[in-house]
Amino acid sequence: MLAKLALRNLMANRIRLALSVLAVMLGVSFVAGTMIFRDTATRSLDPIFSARTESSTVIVRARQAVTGEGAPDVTVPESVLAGLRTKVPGAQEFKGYFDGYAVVVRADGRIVGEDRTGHIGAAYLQRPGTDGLKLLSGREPSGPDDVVVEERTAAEGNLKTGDSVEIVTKRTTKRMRVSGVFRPVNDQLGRAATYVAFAPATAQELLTGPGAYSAVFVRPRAEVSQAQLLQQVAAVLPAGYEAKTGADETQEVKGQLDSVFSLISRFLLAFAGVAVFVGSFMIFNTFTILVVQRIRELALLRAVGAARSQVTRMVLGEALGIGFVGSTLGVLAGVGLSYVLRLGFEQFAGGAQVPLRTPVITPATVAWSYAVGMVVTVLAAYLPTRRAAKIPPVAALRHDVTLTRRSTRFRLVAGTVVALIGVLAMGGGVASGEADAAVLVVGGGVLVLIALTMLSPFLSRPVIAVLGWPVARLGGTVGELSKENARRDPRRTSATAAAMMIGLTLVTVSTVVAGSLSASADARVNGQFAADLSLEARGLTGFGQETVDAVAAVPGVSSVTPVRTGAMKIGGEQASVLVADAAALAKPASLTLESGVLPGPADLLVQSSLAAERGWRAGQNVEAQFPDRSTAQLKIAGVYADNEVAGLPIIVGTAAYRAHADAGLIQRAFVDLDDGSAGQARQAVLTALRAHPTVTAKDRETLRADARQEIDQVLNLIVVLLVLSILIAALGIVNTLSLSVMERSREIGLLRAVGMGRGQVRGMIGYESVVVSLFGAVLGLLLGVAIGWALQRVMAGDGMEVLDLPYDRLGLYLLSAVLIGIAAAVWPARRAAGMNVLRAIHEQ
Amino acid sequence: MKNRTAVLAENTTGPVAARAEVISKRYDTGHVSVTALDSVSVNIQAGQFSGIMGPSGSGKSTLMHCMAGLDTVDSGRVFIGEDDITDMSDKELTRVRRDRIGFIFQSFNLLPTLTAMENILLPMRLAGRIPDQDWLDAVIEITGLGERLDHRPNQLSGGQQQRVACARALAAKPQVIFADEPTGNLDSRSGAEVLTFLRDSVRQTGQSIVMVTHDPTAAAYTDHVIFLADGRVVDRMDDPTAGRVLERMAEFEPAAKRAEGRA
Repeated sequence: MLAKLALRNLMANRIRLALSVLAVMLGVSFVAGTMIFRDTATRSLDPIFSARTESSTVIVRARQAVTGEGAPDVTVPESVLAGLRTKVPGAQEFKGYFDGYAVVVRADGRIVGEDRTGHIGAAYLQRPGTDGLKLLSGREPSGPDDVVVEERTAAEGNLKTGDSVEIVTKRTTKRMRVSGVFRPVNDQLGRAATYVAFAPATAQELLTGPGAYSAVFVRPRAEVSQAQLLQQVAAVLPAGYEAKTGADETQEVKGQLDSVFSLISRFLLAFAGVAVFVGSFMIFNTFTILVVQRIRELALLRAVGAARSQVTRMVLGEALGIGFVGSTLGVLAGVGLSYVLRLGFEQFAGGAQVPLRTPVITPATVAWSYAVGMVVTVLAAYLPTRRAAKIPPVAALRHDVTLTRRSTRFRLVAGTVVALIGVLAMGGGVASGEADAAVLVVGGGVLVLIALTMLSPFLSRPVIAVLGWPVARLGGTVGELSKENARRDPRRTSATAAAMMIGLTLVTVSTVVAGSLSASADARVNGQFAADLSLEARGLTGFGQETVDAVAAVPGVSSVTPVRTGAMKIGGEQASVLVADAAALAKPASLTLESGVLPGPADLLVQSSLAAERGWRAGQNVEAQFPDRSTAQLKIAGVYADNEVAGLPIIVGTAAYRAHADAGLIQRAFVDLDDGSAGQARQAVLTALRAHPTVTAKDRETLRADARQEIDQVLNLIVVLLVLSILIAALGIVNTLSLSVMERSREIGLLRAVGMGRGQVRGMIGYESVVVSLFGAVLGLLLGVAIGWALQRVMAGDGMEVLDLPYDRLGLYLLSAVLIGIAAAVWPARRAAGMNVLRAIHEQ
Repeated sequence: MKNRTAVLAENTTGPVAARAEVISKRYDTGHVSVTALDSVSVNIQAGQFSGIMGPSGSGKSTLMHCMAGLDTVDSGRVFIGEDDITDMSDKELTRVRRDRIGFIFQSFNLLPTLTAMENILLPMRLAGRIPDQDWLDAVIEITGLGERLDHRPNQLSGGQQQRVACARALAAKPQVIFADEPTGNLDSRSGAEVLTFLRDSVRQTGQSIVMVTHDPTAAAYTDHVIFLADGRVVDRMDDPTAGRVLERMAEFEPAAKRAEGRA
């Protein structure tokens, strides 16, 4: 019976509930869309990893002693292969494989796929665990000048068979001819990178050098199983090499990709969580208002014998219904959103593609979506439901019964206590000044945010009195009425504004942190970049010594200081290191010694913050391991002040490092020009670089812009992801206003009767909307700035020395809040203005 | 254009505050069509306290709504002063309501967010007019609200709220005030206060007021009563007393029954 009533109520109130359904739908669609995107992306890798061809092959590779950025490629030398040939009886055939970094430069000097995450060159051989290579046009590479290009790379570079291209690898630069276009079948290699292939002998010459292989593929005899072969190979392999199956390798790659997608989806789900949370305020508001509007109806139920618990169940049943409908629509919308997420991912991931076109909707996705949608709806509706149950039966007979509200004192006290704890946590974090205290600041900030949602009913009256002042000035009596309308029900106003506040707080914190990071990087580049130019590699790898030599030969260039990135174990921990001549680097990077002396060729120079963290002092020896596994005690000659330009916190001498590792490529080189002819020399350097298309020259301005752009990109991504939450907050305003308009129809009728024009009615609703939106936005901005400021204080030693409040952006947010307010009012204002005066006056 | 009801219509020839000429109004509620007004002609004399009486369903409220520009008529013409408002647009009607008409409703006359004083000033503020301070003081004086002017409506009694509503209507010096059962929700004492106040304001200021009521006691405060039944004007009475009105009303009983039956 009550279930039927709940259903009837849902139907009767469907217009009033439509926006709540929409809020649930939007939040759930974000959750579902993210999960669908993740599953689709992961699933679309499956065919790649299920390739079975040549699956009995065993792959031999060298193990990396050190990993991470700067770790050199490792190869299998001829001697190891020779050993295998004699000692593995079960092997039918050994095939050397070569792959590595290879960039295609077109005739016009443009690098194909410059912004891709990788540039792969390999031998034109099928790798175990893939379905092989398919030649689409032209012929296979056979001669030393032949190169075949993967179809997407060819399309991107507009390359055809017969074209002349320049291939740049870590070892050399070579002019070659495109002999054909191919497609790797079910091979992850070509996915996000440009991909070219050569005849095996050419590949060896270009990529690994004579006498070395990237990998060796071992095929078993017919009667030998893969497991047996694996055992035989592993038994005779010297230390530092490993044998794996194709399946093992693909499994590793799959594991890496899976964890990337799970990271992305967790990141997205955090924003989905915000959207759902923001949406819950709207549901809370809707039910609160509906309960008030239905006092007499609910009282009648009680009067005719319904128990409190039955009323509770009925209203909760309605919430459940909304959750169900919203979640259903949300899952459907999530399918659409997953396409959008995929487009966004492909945009950001430097050419990576999710090949599967059909969205994958797992039972888990559906279950989670419904769980999130319905649980949140019921939780949000719970408090109003309890109030509904407290309506006395006598209310059915009387007009003047108002709902008793829970004592505001509890709210005030609890809110104040939470706020105090939050402020103390933030203050404590700031006072400690340690980067670890950022957790304290963020936690404190969340507490203050919660406290503000609890306290905002108390804040709304005074704050709106202030915010409403210009509105009242601007709008005269109409504005004054709007201001009063916004103030009359502080709880409703503040619950509406809270959604906006949460969104704006997050946006503002991100903005202040990003702005501060940007400004700090800017300041560091400004203060520390003392060279005239920095030569940097396009793409991800680096350039050769010949570029340095060419630039050094330009008249007017006084010095060129090359910098490489290496990887070592120092004091037992993996570390990326800067391989450079510290003495030469001191000037262009403005290295300042805090203690010790500049290092000799075999010594280390360590950045101050790392030294403090690891407890190192100048003059001390540390245990170091190079990529070739040789170890040494290295002396820390000196400690230098934290430096942005150096980039990495440990500097190792070039000769010392290169004796143990192939650090062929230079990542960066600082160029100093003679003071007298700097302008001319600079031009000459740029001219000289035309012959080295993979290298660009950047000056201080470009470097600063680069740093800014990178941070801005991340900030914009975060803002875009928060837009959905802000959209829901805006819908919340629409919702509250339309429900209020229905509730206040008699008032509006009265106003119209005593002479308020339709335009004035629209204005009244519009102003109210703007005031509510601004209320939330101002609270959010203030809190966001406070949290951002505290974070900057705490992180001052870790890359955020400078506080930057980007007033233009913050101002833009306030302006957006005003615009959102205006937009949110359009529909409710039209309803209000279109109301029939007579009917409004006579409405019960 | 004067028809048979004109015989009943003209009892005085003074200036007219509002006028209805042969207006008719039908309501279509689903499959049933109800005639609310059937060729009604009414002159509201300026400077008088007029009453419109009738049993429920007689069309008295509809007549008031049509004359006040709140509702439209199917035929006939409606005038405020000498201006024909029948075909006015919503915008023009709003201006007429704002500048030339005052309203007092049975209940819910005041905006809960505004104080008594702000409610009184509301129509003028909406129009952007500067209130005549002397007049305002005089009106407030008659309401006898004094210090309660800063109170919000929920802090005032029902009678006080209606007096604020009356003051609001008077303050703008409209050409005519329409009052729809202004004492319907009040106890008899508060009702008497409000009615006395209305009568006094007519006497003292020459304000024209039209009051719709079904209460003979209330009608007794007016200068002139128009009786409506079945959507037609059936009688008129000058200087009514409660007794005479009650008597007259008793005659309509069958008509009222018919009206109920039809509705």
